[in-house]
This record gives sequence, C-alpha cells and structure tokens, in this order.
Amino acid sequence: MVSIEFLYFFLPVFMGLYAIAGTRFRSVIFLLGTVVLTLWLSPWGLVPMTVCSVSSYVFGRLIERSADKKKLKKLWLVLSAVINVSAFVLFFRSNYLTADIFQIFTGESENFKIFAVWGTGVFTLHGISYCADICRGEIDSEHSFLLTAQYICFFPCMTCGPLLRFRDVSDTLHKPLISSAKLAEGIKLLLFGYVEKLLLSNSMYELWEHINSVNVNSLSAACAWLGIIAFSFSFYYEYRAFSDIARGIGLMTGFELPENFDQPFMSGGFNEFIKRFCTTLYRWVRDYVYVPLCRGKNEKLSLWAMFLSVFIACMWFGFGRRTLLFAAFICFMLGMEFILKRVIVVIPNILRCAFMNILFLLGLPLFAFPDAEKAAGYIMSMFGSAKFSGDVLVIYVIKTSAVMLLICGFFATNIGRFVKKKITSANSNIAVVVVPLIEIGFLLLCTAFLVGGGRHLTGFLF
Amino acid sequence: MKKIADCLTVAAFFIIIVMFAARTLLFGKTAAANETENMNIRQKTETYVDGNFPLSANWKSLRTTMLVMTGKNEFDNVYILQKRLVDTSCDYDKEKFLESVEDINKFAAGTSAQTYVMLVPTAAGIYSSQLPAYAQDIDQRELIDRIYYALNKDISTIDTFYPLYSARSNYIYYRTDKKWTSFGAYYAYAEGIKQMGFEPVALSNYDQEYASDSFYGNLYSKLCYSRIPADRVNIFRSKYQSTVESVELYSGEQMLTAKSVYFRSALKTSDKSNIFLQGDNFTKATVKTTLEDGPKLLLVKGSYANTFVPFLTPHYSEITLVDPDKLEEEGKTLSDTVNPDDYDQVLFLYDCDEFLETNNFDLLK
Repeated sequence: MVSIEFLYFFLPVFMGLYAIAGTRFRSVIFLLGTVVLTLWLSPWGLVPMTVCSVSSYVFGRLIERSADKKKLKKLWLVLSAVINVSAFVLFFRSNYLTADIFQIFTGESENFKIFAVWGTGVFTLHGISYCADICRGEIDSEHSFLLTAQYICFFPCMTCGPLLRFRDVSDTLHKPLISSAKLAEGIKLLLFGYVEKLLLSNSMYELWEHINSVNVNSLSAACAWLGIIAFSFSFYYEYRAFSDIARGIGLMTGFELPENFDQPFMSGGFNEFIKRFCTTLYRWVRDYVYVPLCRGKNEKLSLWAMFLSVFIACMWFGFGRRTLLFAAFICFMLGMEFILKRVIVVIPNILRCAFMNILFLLGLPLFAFPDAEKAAGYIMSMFGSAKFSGDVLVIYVIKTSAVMLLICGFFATNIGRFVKKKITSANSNIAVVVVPLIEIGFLLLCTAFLVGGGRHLTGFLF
Repeated sequence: MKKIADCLTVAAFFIIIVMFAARTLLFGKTAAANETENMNIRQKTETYVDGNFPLSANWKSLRTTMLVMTGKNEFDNVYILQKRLVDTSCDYDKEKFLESVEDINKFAAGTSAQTYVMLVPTAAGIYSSQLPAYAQDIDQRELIDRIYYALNKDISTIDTFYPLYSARSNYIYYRTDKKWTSFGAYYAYAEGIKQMGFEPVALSNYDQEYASDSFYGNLYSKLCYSRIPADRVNIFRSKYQSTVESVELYSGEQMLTAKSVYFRSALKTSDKSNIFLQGDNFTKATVKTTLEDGPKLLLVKGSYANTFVPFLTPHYSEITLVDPDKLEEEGKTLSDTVNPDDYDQVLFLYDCDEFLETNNFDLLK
C-alpha cells in the first residue's frame, strides 16, 4: 500500500468510481478494489480470501438459523473457526526473514508453506470474530454476501489491522457516505501514515541495521541502547503507519475505524502497554481467547488463559520462533507486575513509565534477533560487556540520527498529540490556508521518498 | 470555515495526484521489449512508472536534501563527503577472491608472456580517513597486499595505492562517479610503467583538453544531491603526434573501427566518461600504433582500464583489451578471441571493488 502505483494510480481511480457509484454499488467497487490489490500482490491470494468469506457467510447464516439448538450452533462455530485457523496457519507469513507459524514448532521454515497471502492475519480473525459474535447473539448475521465479504476482506486493514468488529462497521457497510470533512480527515491520516512509514520507520530501520551490523563484542552500551531504541521505533512506526493509512482510506470511503495505537510508550506498566499497543488485537484476543477460556473464574485457569493469549498475540506478528521467547518475557513481566502490584501503586507514574520502557527495551532483543544466543549477547552489550575505549560509532550515530530519533520520540509521546491539538484548534481563518498547504507539503514529501527512495523497501511488513 | 479548508485539501490532493498520474500515463515511453521480456505485469508496470514519473531527479534531490538536513550523510552505502560522493559498497568474499587469484596464477603459468597485475584502490580506499569508522568492511590497502601476496612469485605486481594516495589532493577520482579520472590514471601510470620496463612520458609533454565540464556520474544519479558540482572529463593530449593508428572494437558479431581512442559521440550521452573506448561495451578491442617494433600487450580489463589505455599507446605496437564480463555474456573463453602467447606482456587492470565482484577469470584459458 506504500507505493507510487497505489497512491497515484489505484487511489484516484478507485475513489473516483467509489464516489460515482452511489451507496448501492459502493460495496461492489470496494470488493473490486480488494480483488485488484490482491491480484497485484499474488494472484493465488484470492483463493483463501474467497474460502474465508464464503465460509463465514454460510456459517454465519447457519449459526443464526440454529440459534436455539445449542449443540448445532457450537458445531458450526467450531467448523468456521477451524477453516479460518487453518487458512491462517497455511497462508500467514510475515516476510521478515521468512518466519512463519510452522517454524515456531518445527524449527524449519518453508516446509509446509504453500504461499503467503496478503492480509491472512486480518481476514481470518475477522471471520472468527464475525461468527463468534453471531453465536453469542451480539449481532445478526448479514443477509448480503457482498457486504459480508466486504467486511471480512476489508482491504485498508489487510496489512496489519486495525481489526474490525462487524457491529462497529455494519451501519456504514449498509450506507457508506462520503463527505468533504471525512475525505479531508482521511487524506490527512493517509499522508501522515505515509510519512511515518517512509521517513520515521525507514530511517530507524536503517539505523538499527547499521548498529546491528557491528559485531556485538565491540558494541558500546550507549550504541546498543540507541540500536534497540531505533528497532522499537521502527517497529512501532511501521505498524502505526499502516494502521493510520488504513484509517485514512477507511475515512475516505466513509468508515470510521478505531485507533490502533494509544501512545503505548507512555504507559505505566506492561499490563497497560499491551492494551495500548495494537489495541484492536488486544481486544480481539481478550474477547475470543481469554474470556471464553477463563469463564469459570478459576484463578489458575485464568493465568494459563492469559499466557495463551499473550502467545497468540505475539504469534500474530509473525516473527517465528523468537516470538515464543518474547512472549515468555512479556508473561514474566505481567506476572511480576501482578505479584508486586501493591508496591507498584506507590511509585509515581512517570517513574513507572520509565521503568516499563527500560525493561521493555531490555527484553526487546529477544524479539529482534532470530536466535536467543545473539539476543543474549546483545543484552549483555547493553550492560556494557564490550571491552574497548573510545566510542566513535556512538558519536557518528548521534550526529547522523539525533534529529530523526527526536522526531520519533516527539510523536511517540504526548507532546506530539498536544501540538497537533494546538494546530488543529488554532484560529480557523489561518487554518483555511495552512491546513491544505501542510497536506500538499506532506504529499510532495511522500512522493519524493517514494520516487527517490527506489523500489527497495525495508521494514517488517514486506 | 473548516469546510472550505477541507474542500481545498481534498481538491488539491486529487488535482496533484491526477495531474502526475495523467502525465505519466499519457506522455510515457514504454521500455524496449527485450528489457521487459521476462517480467510479469507488476514488474513491467513498476519499470514503466519508474522510467516515466515526472521530475524524478527533482524528487530524488528533494529527498536527499531533506535527509541531509537531518544529519544523514550515507545513502545505500554512498557517503557524501564535503564535495564528493564515495561508494563504499563492496561485496567481500574471501573464498571468491582466492579463486580469482588461483585462476590468474594458472593463467600466468600457462603462458609465455610476462604477467602483471595492477589493482587500483577506489575513492573509498584513498579517502578512507574521511569516512566514518565502520563505514567499510575492508581496508583496501590491506586487501591489495593480501591479493598480491597470494599471487605466484613470477607474476609482477604493480603498486598503485602509494602513488594515488600521495596525489590524493589532486583531481584523481570523479566526484560523482566511481571511476578515476585521467589524472588518477596518469599518476598510477607514471609509477607502474617503470615496472613494465618503460620510462613514463612526463606530465609536461601533455596538454590538458577538457572534453566536458558537465559530467554527472552514476553515483550522482542515485542521489541527485545538488551541492555536488559537476565533473570535468579531461583527456591528456600529447604535444607531439599521437601514436595511435587504428582502433577496432569487437562486440559479438559487430566490429567498429576508429582512428582514435577517444569516442566523442559519448559526450552526447549521459555517461560522458565513455569517451574512453566507449566504456565497457566491447568484448575485445585492438589499439594499433605507429611503433612497429614495440612490444605487444594483452590487457585483461576492468572498467578502470579504459582511462588508462591512452597512456600506454606511446610504448606498445599493439594493445589488445579483453573484457571477461563480456566473454561470459557471449559464452566464450579467452582462447576464442586471442592467443595470449602472441603477446609480450599481459596486464590485469582492475579496481578493488570490481576485482572482488569478478568471478569469471576461469574463462581465461
């Protein structure tokens, strides 16, 4: 979704047709857009998408029809879940170092993989959530297959969410309206997402690669910290960028999508952190894994349910075997937080936040490196295990990346939000001139990075 | 009021996008069919858009300028040093270069001609002290020593690092390209030719001719950073009669003859440094001179050799250049094109980066 072709050719044609189509045919245009984008990435992607859409539609209808037969209802739900989960396992892969689910268990990659399909992480979860909600009687099943398919394969969210709930979007699905206010806001979000990806995430990724290429034994503590900060920013901004782009396109087509990131680095503990990082994923895992599992209110059971939820959430990011270690780390931290909760309450918020970030960064190498040994070496170097004097690299890194690091920090904390509020609530007469100018500036900036940066896209989601 | 701002934003956004898209689609040129032969639709579209999106140099320039403002000075292994672009990318593989060395040893043992090897450092090697630490994986001086050491004793090695390093304040490398200039080639020649048994022609015997003062090399076209000034392409004109009699360039089935080693038609193209023997576009080139009793030289060339050849013409009766990369493309070996035993001397002339990348010396048989 971050390419010249998408921004300059797909988007105007799609939006033009979508605007002309009128509310009745908008879902057809929307699905056509999904098909075109999927074909563009890999033609075979349509197969799992169709299977998941059709099965969700059929099972949704069946579940509703057998609403009073509890066992039959359950059977349909389980069947639909099995189809979606198997699609997830077979086709999901984040291309990052070709890690996939099988690799977690077998240690070998590329073994059972058929091919990776864009959006598998999203449309399968949509399918499960849709059927489960019908089963619980929270929503009615959708009678139109087109609308169900549009919800299941909602292309703006396909890269990495936000994950949607059918009840939040069903009104708009039936009557998608576009207005100048929504369009303008959508363009703003879209361009902001592009800037986050192309400027912030990519620069941070390059910095991380640069520091990563240095031998761990000659890496100073300061550099190791800067490196892992760069990694966390790069990861965060990449996911946030695609979520913002999704929200932008959503708004342009009339859908108000939930925000996926709520300043996670400002949270005062891991419990809060996982709620604020990829919010919609947290809610999905809570509602469809954690809550059903610990219905009995058994404390032991709920602990296991929590561990399982964390593992599933970490696996969703698709980084292979290392996610297990990282999930274990998060679980450990959550456990510690639970045990020490009386002590933690006393600590002022700002200190708690600082502690959380330091601990998080200490654990992050487990996620960043494919094997645990390297990660351990890196963590050691964060404590200054390297023996050498005179640190030229850190001076160079600070000289070349300080500005970008500061910008990233600025938008990751509340300061960015505060400034944004100030600008948007400024004198409206000035805003008439300034806002469009800022948007044009953003557009030019994005184009410069798209055209000038070449085809070589770095990051986690490619 | 907000509504006006919104409408303006939306209108501006779509007008700009549609304008550029229309410009790309309506006035674009499709790439030649043979270039896009093996591509799928997606790759074809991408090549088309890359080639036809308007103002592409300006976009690049904007991006580079923005990033330089944030303090960045490295773009894909190309560093911006005050007034110069230096490419540090190099694919160092110990096994590979030892194989190349082995092939050269084998070649030298199998031929009666005396073999010389001349490895030239690139700008990244000469100006390494200006580059940040960790910018390079290898020290080029050390690398050249290591390669020279691994070569057989009967192969003569020619040191170019020292003469180029002493001349580093001169204009020895292009600022915007990886290649060396005529000056760089001259300094290496002035030292190296002594080892090959000749007295170098003194600098005072040459007039400088500036063939072009607006050369932007391929490093520049990656970044389009406007603070880097254009390069001059200069050629050394002998004050006396030139010794070159005829030049023949062979490429595949085609042959091109000329009276000079300088091909001025290249000045009209984007790569003006191709004025020297048309760049790397031939498999074999024969330069014949008026010195009928002079020795004959076979030159196994990397791209640095073209600039070097004009300095050799006063010493040899015939210089034959062979490009192993082109041999590989045409599926030939050296013996299909020349017989090394017809020559008195054989010279391998490569820059460090190209030597490390090359793995086709096994075609020299």
